[in-house]
Amino acid sequence: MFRLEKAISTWKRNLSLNRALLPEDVEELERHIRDHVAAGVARGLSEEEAYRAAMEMVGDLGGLETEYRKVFWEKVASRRGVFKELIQEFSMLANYLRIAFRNLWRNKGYTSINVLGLSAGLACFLLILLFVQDERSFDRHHENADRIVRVHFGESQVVTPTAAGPTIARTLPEVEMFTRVYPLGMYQPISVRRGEEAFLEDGFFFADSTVFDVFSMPFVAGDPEGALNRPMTMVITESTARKYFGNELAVGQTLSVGSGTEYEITGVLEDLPATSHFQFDLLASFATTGWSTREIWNSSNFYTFLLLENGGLLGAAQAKVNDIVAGMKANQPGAVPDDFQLVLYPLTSIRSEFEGRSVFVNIFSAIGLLILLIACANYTNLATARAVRRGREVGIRKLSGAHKGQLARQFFGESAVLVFISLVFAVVLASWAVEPFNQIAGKSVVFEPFTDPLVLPTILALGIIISFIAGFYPAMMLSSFEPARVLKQSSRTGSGGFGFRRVLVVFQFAVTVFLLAGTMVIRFQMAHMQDRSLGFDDNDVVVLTISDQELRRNYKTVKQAFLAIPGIEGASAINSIPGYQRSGYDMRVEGQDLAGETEEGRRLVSGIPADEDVAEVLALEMIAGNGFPEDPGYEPEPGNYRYLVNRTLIEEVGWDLDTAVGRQINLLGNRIGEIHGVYEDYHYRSMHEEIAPQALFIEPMQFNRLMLKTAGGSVGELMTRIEETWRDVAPGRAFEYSFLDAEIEALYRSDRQTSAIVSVFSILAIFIACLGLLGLASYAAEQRTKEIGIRKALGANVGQIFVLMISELTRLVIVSAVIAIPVAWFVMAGWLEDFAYRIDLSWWIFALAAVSALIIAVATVSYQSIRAAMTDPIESLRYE
Amino acid sequence: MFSKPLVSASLQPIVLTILSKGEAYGYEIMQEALDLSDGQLRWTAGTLYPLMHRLETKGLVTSIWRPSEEGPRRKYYRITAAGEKALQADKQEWIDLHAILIRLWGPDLQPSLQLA
Repeated sequence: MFRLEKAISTWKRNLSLNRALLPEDVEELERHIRDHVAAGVARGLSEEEAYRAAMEMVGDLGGLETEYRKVFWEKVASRRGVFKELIQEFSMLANYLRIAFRNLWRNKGYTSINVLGLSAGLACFLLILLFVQDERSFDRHHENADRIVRVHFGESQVVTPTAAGPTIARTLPEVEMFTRVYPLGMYQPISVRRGEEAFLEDGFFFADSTVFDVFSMPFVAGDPEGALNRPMTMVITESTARKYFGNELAVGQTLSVGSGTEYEITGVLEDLPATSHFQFDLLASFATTGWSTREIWNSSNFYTFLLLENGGLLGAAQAKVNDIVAGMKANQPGAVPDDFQLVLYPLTSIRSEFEGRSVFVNIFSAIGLLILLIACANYTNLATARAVRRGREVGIRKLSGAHKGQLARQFFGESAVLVFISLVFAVVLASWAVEPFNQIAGKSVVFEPFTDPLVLPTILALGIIISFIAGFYPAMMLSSFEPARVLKQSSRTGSGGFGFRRVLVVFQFAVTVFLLAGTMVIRFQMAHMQDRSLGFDDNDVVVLTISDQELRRNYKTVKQAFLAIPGIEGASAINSIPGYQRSGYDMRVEGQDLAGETEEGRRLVSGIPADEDVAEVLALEMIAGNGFPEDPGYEPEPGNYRYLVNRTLIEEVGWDLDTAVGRQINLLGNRIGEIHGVYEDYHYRSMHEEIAPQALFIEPMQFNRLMLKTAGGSVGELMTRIEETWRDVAPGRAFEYSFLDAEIEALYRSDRQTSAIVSVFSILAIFIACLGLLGLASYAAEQRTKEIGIRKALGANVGQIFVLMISELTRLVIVSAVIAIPVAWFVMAGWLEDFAYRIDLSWWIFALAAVSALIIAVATVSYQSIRAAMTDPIESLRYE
Repeated sequence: MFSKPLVSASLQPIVLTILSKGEAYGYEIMQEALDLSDGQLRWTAGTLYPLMHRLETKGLVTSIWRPSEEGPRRKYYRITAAGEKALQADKQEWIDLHAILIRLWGPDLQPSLQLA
């Protein structure tokens, strides 16, 4: 029996819960319905029929609300109720959050898997963000950073002749000023002394006095104005000042450099930030050297920096510089080589582009983003998998008047709560992991979320973005469930979002396979470099530095003194140690303009001055000739130079091994001499570079290093003896030593860093992906309980059920591998390009990565799957 | 029946015209439009009332609650001076538009509805 009053009051109750309609709106509508019903009854309809007609006229609740919402804020504003309404909205927000917390608390397993994955992902991302930020900030601390360019000599050489700066500055009005820096200490460490205390300084540079106008280098003492005007003056960094003077005032005091020149200290600088591409400790006035006023083009040892009027003038300036160079080539033939050019390079690109760090930065940015997306995919997957269970909840909420927008907000609330909880953990994790990360990455980034004003807003923005990315799909999917459908179905069927879930799993495993393959290639390449013979013996070699002419002149006496120590088996003086042999010479050979008067037969070779014992100390393998002859009275003179050359040199010139010994070559200028032996190629530079022709020759005035071959074993006591001997033969010089094998190791530091970081992040990415898989597996097992029960009741065994459970996953992992392998192949081939001696990319590395990913995936789900397969069918079927 | 955009566009001038003849409550306005158009102007409550409220906040109409002899009170709407002005502007626009359409289509087009 239809009762009008009851129908109207039910209808009214639903409506009055809706904020979009004010109480008087409801009253107005009620009156409308009553009028409508009354008119209908007057026309002879029954009350029920009239009521239905009236309801049709009113429109459904959703449509009604939408229309009322459109005028809602205008009405509220006209009645000055905005503030109250906002409070209301906020209390709704609080309500969403409260319900979200309650839901998360009730599903602790689900919540902890998500929080674990998200916080690990976010922590990685934060660390990588810091790293990238640090790389990006290189050389940006200078006020004029955007206006400073460095002049390069050709495409790759960063040092220029003294004439480059003044010539350009005179000709180009765009150039405000230039400054030249002469990094003497980088070529050979300089001995700096105060009283009895001496140190070898590789950070001893010279600079024009304009250096402080071009660069921003704050002084802590002294006056930047004219600090480097006079000869024999120098400015030092704060920590250098502390090293030599302790707490004394450094300005006004002197330090003795090299063989005793006294430099007055006119200023103390703040230490250079780690994000400066050049690092010095002592900066002496360029005016001290004869170079500063001699404008010459034929010796390139100096950095030249220009300060442009503005950074936009770079193109114009480069064009004019090209004109200068073209003019020189036309007017003064022979003054500069034919291939000579000057390139202006922006200061802020030196680190990223010139030093190639941007590749590194891009790789890590990509990894950080991928890890974060894997973590988001976990959330999306688990939330939609759970949706099947929550279908009923959604249905009931909708029936009780909730509409799509409200439910979507509710589900967004849940993702936001999870993400922000995870962010808190991520911040804690990141601040804990930043130190180990610095060590692995060789960085010194700091993570100070509460003191750096930029960090918290970044983190908040990140939280909001991630909540949205992770929560969008589940919110849309869950809120659009139709109550009639979800309530009619039994609670555990339905596969909402199943297709999308598969896409995300494929994405996660594609990334996993990619990272696994990348890690393997990097590791194999590192192992390849470790295993590859260097061609010389780097074990048990102590390296000392010969820093002045006197020691060079007396190198034989010095050697003898060390050889007298028991436990030292050999000694050899050399210009630079293997791995770091960079100096090059123009070479001519007999029959092709040996004297080097023309361009004929010109070859650039590596030329390293070394003494007669070099082959023995480095254990080079002689493949022809006997090596340098024993000849204590030998002094090199033009015409009687003595050479050892490597196999590649002989092959490049086209000589036979048998006839090479005794032939004449000349390393310009004027070092004609005879080949006394050929040695097997050794890696005189890092394995990134190919072995090129090399010649060793005796020229004591160029010796910088003394290598001592020890008998091996413990060196503790031996080092004391070596130090005592050093004090004896080189009084007043700093005693500093290193080991050859450690120096070689250092060559590959950045490769090892890449390897370590990629490995760590790959493991994390895999871990996070597996967490998600674990969660999905438990839902899948639960959802299929009944199916498994029936299959078992019909005779399937545990093995068959297990295969059934993992076959889907196996297919997905295979699809992932098919997607990931070509990408990984392409990327890793590019990475390997940078190594002259590299592994071949063979298919099995990628197959291994795919199989590993599959094994990891199956292992992750196996516990759940086996448990599901083992369940007694009676248990699982009893539910119904 | 008219298309939705046309219904929405014509809502304001029609409502204001009805009110210009004297105050009325929502159901009355709706009925009048229905009668006037031989059932062609069939608004829902969700269309009419939000419009009334918007006209009210714009100051084109005012409203007043009056008790009725039987049942709950009714909310009556009355056009304001501003409303009259808006109606004149609306009228002019519709007539101009109508004139353009007639000029385009010719004078022999007959409306399907004979207005009383």
